Amino acid sequence: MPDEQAVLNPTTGWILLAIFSVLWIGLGVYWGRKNKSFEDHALAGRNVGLALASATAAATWITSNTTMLAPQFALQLGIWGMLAYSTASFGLFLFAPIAKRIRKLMPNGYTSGDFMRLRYGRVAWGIFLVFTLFYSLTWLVSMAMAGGIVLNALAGIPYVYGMSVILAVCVLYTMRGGLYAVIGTDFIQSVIIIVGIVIAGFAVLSKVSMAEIHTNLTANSPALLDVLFPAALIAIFNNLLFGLGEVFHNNVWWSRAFAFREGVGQRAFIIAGLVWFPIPIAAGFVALASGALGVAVPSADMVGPLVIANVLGSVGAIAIFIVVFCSLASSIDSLLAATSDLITEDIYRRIARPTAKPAELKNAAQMITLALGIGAWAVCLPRIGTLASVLFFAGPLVASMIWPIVTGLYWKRASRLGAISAMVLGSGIGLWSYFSIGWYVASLIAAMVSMVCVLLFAAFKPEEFQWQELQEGDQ
Amino acid sequence: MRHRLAALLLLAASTPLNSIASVPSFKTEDLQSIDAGYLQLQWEAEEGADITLQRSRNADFSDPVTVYQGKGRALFVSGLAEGDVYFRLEDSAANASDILTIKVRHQSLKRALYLMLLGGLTTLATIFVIIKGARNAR
Repeated sequence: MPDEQAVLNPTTGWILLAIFSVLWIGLGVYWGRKNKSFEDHALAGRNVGLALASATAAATWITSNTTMLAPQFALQLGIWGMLAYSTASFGLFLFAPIAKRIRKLMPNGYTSGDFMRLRYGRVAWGIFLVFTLFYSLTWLVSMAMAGGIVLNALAGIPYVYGMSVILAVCVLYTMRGGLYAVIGTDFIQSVIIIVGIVIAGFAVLSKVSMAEIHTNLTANSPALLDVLFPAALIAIFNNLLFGLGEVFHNNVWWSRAFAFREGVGQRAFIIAGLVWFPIPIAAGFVALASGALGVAVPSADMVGPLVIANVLGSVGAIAIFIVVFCSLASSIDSLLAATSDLITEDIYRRIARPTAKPAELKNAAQMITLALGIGAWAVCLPRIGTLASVLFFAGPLVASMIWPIVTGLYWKRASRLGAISAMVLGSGIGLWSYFSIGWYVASLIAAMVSMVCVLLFAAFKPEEFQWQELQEGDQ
Repeated sequence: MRHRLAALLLLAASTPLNSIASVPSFKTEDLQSIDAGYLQLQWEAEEGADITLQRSRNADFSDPVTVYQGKGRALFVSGLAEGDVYFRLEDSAANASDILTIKVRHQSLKRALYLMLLGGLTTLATIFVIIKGARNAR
C-alpha cells in the first residue's frame, strides 16, 4: 500500500514509535536487573504466577497475523474463515494439559530440544532442530518484515526504518531483560491489544447494524455467508492442525511451560485460549462490516486498519497503530528469546561448550539474541515479498511433529523410529501435497501421515521408555 | 514520399496512445478463473480521474451494480458466487473500459467435505490421546 493511502501522518507515527520504543526498552532494562544466571534469563526463575503466565501466553499468540490476517481471512473466506482462524486457540487449550505434563516430567528442563533429545535420541533431535529453527527463523523474518510493511502502510514510515526500529527495540529489551522482560511487556501489550480490539468492535457496531451487514453481504458477497463454501471448509482443519503443530513443538511455548510456577501452566494456557478465541472473531467481524460501511478495500491485508480508521477517525488510526505495534513486539520478543535459548541450550551448551558456567550461558544467550536480530534484519532489508510466503512451507513441518510430541509425552511405547519416520515422511508428503495439490491440504496431510507412522511403530515395534530418563539431562 | 510515410506512421502510432491514456482499463487478467471467490481488481486511468467500477452477472450489463467510486486504482472483491462475473470501468467523462470477465469456479464441495472429514478425524484422535494421557498421568 503506498504512503499516500496511510491512515496516520508520519509525524504522529514516529512519535508513537518513539514513546513505545522507550517504554519497552526501559522496562527491559529494569526487569533485566533480576537476571543473574541463564536460568533467570531464559526461564524467569521458573516462578511466573498465573496472571503474568496467562497474559504472556495470550499475547504471544496475538501476533500481527491475528490483528491483520484474521480480518483478511474473514474478508476472503467469510464466517467460516473467521472461525477457522479462531481454531488456532485450540493450540493453547490442548497445550494446557501438555504444559502440566512437561513440568512434571522435566521439572528442570530448558527447551523442547531437550525433550526430543532425551526422548527420541540424537537423530530425531537433529531433524527436530532443523525443522524448528526453519520455522522460528522464517516466523521471525516474516514478523519483522510485516512490521516494516505495516508501519509503512499505517503511517507512511519508510519500510527500512520501521522494520529496523521494531527489530532493534525488541532485540534490546529481550537481550537486557530476558524472559522477565518478555513476559512483563507481554502483559502490558496484551491489555492494550484486547482493549483496542474491543473498542474497535463496539465502534463498528455503533455505526452499522448486524442486519445492514447481513444485507450487504447477501447482496454483494454471498459466498462469505455460505455454510458450504468449499475453500473455507478446507481451511478449517488445515489451519487448526498448523496451529497445533506450531504450539506443541516450539520452544516459545515450552519455555513458558518450564518458566511458569508449578501448578500454574495448565490453568494459564486455558485462560489464554479463552482470551485469544474471540479476538480473531472480533477482528474478522470488523472486516465483514467493510462493505456495509462503504469502505473500499484495495488489498485484503489492509481491511482491518482501513475499517477502524474509517469508523474511529484519527483516534482509531492511532489505536490500530498501537495495537499492531504491540502485537508485533509481543511475538518478536518471544521468538527472539525462545530461539536464542534453544540455540544456547541445544547447540552451544550441548555441542560446543558442555562445561559452560551459568553466567557464560547467559552472555551467550544475549549474544545469540543480538545475532538473530542482525540476521533477521539483513534478510528483511531487501524486502523480498515472496519471502514471507516461505512461512507457509513450515505448515507441514510443524504438523508432522504433533504426534511424536504428544505420544512421546504420554506413551511409553512411542518409539524413536516412529518419531523419525513421522517427521520425515509426514513433512515430505505434506510438502509434496503443498506443491501438487495446494496449501490448504499440506498441514492436514502431514499430520495424518505422521499419525499413521507413530501408530504403526507403536503397535508393531514398541519401545518401553522410562520416564526418569527425561530428567537425566537436567543436571 | 518517405516523409509522408514517416508522418503517417507517427500519426498511426500516436493516435491510439492518446486514446488509451484517456480510457480507463483493467490491469487484471481477463477471463481468469478463481476457485475461492476472491481477487484483487487493478486498473489504470488518467491521473486523478474519478472512476466508477460496475459489476454485473450479465455480459450486456442489464443489471449493473456500482461497487466502487473514487480515485483508487485497486479493489479487493470477495465472496463471489459460482458463475461468470463481469466488471467495467467508467470515468467522469463517460469513457468506458473493455469488459473484464472473471470465471468463478469454486472448488469441489465433495472434496472439501472429504478433507474436512480427514482433518476432523486426525484432530479428534489427537485430542483423545492428550485427554486420555492426561487422565492416566494423574
